[in-house]
Amino acid sequence: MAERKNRFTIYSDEELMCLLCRGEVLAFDELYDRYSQRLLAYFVRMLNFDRDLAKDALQDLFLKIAESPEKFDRTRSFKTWIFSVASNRCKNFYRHQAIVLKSHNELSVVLQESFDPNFSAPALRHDNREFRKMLEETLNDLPPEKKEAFILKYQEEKSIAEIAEIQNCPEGSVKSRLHYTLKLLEERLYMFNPVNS
Amino acid sequence: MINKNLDELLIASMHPENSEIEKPEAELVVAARQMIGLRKRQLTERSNLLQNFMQFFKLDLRVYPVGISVLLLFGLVLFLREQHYSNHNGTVISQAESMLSLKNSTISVNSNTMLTSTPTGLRN
Repeated sequence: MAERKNRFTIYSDEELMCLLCRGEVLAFDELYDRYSQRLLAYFVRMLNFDRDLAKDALQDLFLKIAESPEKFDRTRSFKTWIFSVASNRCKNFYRHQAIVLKSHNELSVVLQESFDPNFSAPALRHDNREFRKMLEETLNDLPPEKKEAFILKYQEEKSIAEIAEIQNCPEGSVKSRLHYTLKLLEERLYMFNPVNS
Repeated sequence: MINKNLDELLIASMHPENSEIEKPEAELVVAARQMIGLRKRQLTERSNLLQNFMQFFKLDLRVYPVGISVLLLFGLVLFLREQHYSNHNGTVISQAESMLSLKNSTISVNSNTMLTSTPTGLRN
């Protein structure tokens, strides 16, 4: 099975979607391998660290893909398309379910000591764990559209144009959302700036 | 603070692996996988059905038999072609029309001679 699976790693996401339309389970597995972790991270952050809800959302998303892969517009990038679908699912969750905001204490449990200790930006002195904790807490306080823009920019490293396509809004709105978030982070994380310390 | 270093730091901090967001288990998508498997089965069945249907219409034509058949058919059509002829008035009528008596007034049902000579079986 592993050998057969490797056969699918050479295909692009869009090609895998075509194979999926023809009922290739291994093409689906390959797409799941490529995107499940990133999408789960996206959902976890978007749904205020409710992991069960995030897993449900992920499951729903892949079920929808399996149900009707023909819905994928082949003229679009799969990466952008799948995050658009994920974004819509989040909006539905926000609309229909009461999102229980996790307390800061619960968040701190989520953020374990896994960050690479060797990493350090030259101009910044910081405690990685504390920094991440503060960052996630700040994100949790943001309105969904700002949080999403930030996640897509810094987790998925998407361009402004791609984020605008996913969020279905003008690029100017994305820039403004990111600017707002970065300003807020600047205020909240000022102690990590070596100039201030 | 909003500079390249911060960008790099944020990207590193937001990376799923750095945030302890583990890879989700494959069991989450068992139903989705089954659905795709079912799709393949349906597509294969449909394709087989179509192939069988097309097999029925698949003709193995050869040039000589087809050519000879076409010639024979053409000859037959020429032979059985409706023949036209002229009556005593010089009007061109077809054999078929004559047989149906549609244009032949002599044996038409509208003919008085025929009607009067029809035995009715009623006598005083």
